[in-house]
Amino acid sequence: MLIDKLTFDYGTPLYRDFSLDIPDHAITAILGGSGTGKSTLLHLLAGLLTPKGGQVPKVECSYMFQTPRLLPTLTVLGNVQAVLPKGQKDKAKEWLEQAEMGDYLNYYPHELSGGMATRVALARAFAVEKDVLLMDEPFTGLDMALSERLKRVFSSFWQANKPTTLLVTHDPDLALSVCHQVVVLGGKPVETVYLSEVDDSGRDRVLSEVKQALLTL
Amino acid sequence: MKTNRAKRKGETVKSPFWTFVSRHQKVLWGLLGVGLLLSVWEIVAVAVNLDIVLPRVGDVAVAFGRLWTTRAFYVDTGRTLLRCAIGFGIAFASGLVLGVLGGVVKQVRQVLQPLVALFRAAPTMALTLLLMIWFYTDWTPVAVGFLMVFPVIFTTVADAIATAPHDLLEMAQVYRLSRWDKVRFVYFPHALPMVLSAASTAFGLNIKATVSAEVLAYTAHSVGLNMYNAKNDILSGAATLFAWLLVAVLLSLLFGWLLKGVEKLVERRYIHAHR
Repeated sequence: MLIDKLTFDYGTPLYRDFSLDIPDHAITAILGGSGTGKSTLLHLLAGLLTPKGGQVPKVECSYMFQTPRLLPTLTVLGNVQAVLPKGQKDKAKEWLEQAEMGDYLNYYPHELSGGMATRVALARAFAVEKDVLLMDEPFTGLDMALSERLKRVFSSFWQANKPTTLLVTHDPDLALSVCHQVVVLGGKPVETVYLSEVDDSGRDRVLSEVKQALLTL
Repeated sequence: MKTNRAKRKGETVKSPFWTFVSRHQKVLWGLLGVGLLLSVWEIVAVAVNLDIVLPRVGDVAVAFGRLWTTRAFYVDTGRTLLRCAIGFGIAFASGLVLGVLGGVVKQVRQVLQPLVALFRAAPTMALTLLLMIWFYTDWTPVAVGFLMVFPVIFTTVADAIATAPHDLLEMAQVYRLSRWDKVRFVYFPHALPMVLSAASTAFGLNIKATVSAEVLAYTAHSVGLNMYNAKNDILSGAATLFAWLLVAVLLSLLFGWLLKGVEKLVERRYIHAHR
């Protein structure tokens, strides 16, 4: 998946001739300081924003937003079923059970804790089984134990179909623990400050390089 | 269990009287307000001692009771209510349709805005006089009611559509939800409480405006005309006029409560009071 010479601005230029190659069937972490356009990049890929220039691949994707964004009048089950095509609604229950939400199928979003709502959003994102998955700070605002459990659920879900995943985060540890490639964005207009593949042997080195790259932004 | 008992020992046990008072505080304060109002009225009426200006509470109660014994009361009140319902129904339906259009297409709202502003700002009496020239007296109150309700419903619906939660609409777009699903799951739950609340307020306005128009247009078989006639009936003094006024107030309150009830029921059932 190639982003080619992307140009986009909100009045002041954000991206100008920005290119990035995103490996298929791998998880790429996008890191960077506040306002570096990480979420904008996901919005552009999802088709929620239109680039002013360059090429952004037109893809059918699922998207885990910063907040769960559940439909308030639907139950947990209804929320996942709502995004599934006719004839595939049965899948919703299976995904929710795998996300440890099997006992809460008939709960409404306002009855759920933050962690439970995130699980539903996670199940929804995977249940649609798209080739591309976009995730924007998916586990932010949760305590460490819950965040760890959700990471495990995410990893097991991801193994099922291995969608091409772009994960925006400000947490280098999360990026290193679940991703195959790390990209650090910086500058105005945005450029790739750091890019590295992650493998088990070089994990510590990449982590310190990522932290260094983030500090110098 | 032990803990509960221990706790109870330390607590002061309320008498059934005080339990009743604390449970129905709102109603009791309201009743106290009504009592005070009636007391002040009675004191002033006794001081003025002129039935034609301010009748005594008892006289109004008798006049009010007498109204209920005549067939004309039911016919006239029924027809006033029918006029209110027709004016409200047409205004609600058109306000809903045009409000949705105005919420979706900005230009539609901009085109209709001057008309809505005119409806809102023009004095009711002036509008009634104008409408009397255009309509039969039977339809003038209906048209006045329409003019009161339409701007409220139109503006509320257009605002509700325009302020629908952007984050949920983005989610719906990404997950390719159908237009109908967006209406059902995003717009409708967002707009419903706003529209119901506006409808409840508008219905009260509608009754006031319709009855006022009936007075001015001498509409046959109406609460308004009965008020007008009572004002001119020197023999029975102002008691009958006050009784009809009471009828109009009670109608407004009754439908206000009914609509509030519907609002709560719908919210509890469909909206789940969560946001």
